[in-house]
Amino acid sequence: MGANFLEINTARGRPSPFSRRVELLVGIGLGYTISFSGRAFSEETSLMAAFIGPILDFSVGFLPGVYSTVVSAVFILVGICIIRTMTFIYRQIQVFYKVANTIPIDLLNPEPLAVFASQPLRVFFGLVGITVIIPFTLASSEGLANTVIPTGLPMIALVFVLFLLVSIPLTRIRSRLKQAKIEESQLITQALTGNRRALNDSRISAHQDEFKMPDLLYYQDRIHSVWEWPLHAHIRKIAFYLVLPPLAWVLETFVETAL
Amino acid sequence: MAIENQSRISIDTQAFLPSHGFKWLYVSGLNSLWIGVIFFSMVMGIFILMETMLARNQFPTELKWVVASMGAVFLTIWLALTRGAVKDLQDIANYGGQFSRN
Repeated sequence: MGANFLEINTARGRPSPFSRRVELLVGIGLGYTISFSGRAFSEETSLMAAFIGPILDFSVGFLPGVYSTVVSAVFILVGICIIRTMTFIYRQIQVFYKVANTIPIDLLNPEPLAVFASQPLRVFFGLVGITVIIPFTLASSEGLANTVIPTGLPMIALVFVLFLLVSIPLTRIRSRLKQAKIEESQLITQALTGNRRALNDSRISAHQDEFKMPDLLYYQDRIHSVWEWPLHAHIRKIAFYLVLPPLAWVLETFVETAL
Repeated sequence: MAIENQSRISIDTQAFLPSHGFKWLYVSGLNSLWIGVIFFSMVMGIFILMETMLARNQFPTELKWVVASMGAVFLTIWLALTRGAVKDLQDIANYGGQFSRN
């Protein structure tokens, strides 16, 4: 095992100055389109339209359209952030997939691989935040429910799809861990049935003479117990977010009952 | 920018870094949440200033909050995702020794 195994060339994932400029322009275009759509639909009853509508009539003497300019600037920034986030997620999948393909798998120390679960969780929690905010911005005077179904549900579907895409490097690590487990287990099984030469290819090859039958059985159990999903470090976080909604409902019921 | 540790393990992070006027946000070292809060305060400040000094009419308060928070939330999430990914690569580089078999 060489010392330079992690000298991973991710230069392919590095965007060229041209593509960065294109992303910037597309982001500006998207932001302006969002801002323009808000004005175009200013006749509608949505809260955003109610906000942008008055801007059309807004003129401040020597500074006409200054309010409109600020709002457009915010939306252009939002557009840039959306495009940059999307392209960033794409590059993140590329780079981490490459790392997931290259990184050595140590069955006795899989904890460091938990880092591959961080990106899907981070993207998931980040996009959930956006998914919660967007329907509110488009809420119509007829009620939030009328907005959440047409806008919120497609966004939830988008978050789910993005979560699956960002999880590709994690699933690659999982399949490599599974394969490593199968291979190591087969070598130990062969050793247990008398072919000790099989241990030459196992990760205990340097200590194979010290491994007697009970040690091999213990080692086989240890290998079988390795969890293929490297999520150890994130279990508390996942459990917290899973428990939070039901806990909120229970507390709400408790408060209602108490009052 | 390449992440390196004592084992000469390096991973290029250029793919993730912001550019075109946004790089300074990244290299400022400010927490993503703080950048979002500062941006939100800036936009709200401009709105309030314009209403106080220039406007003839007031805009709905909750909608000012929505517009100001949209930019802040998107900016925060983008920077947080970027910083997180770079930190993950840093962790992988630091774990390099642990992955070694011998």
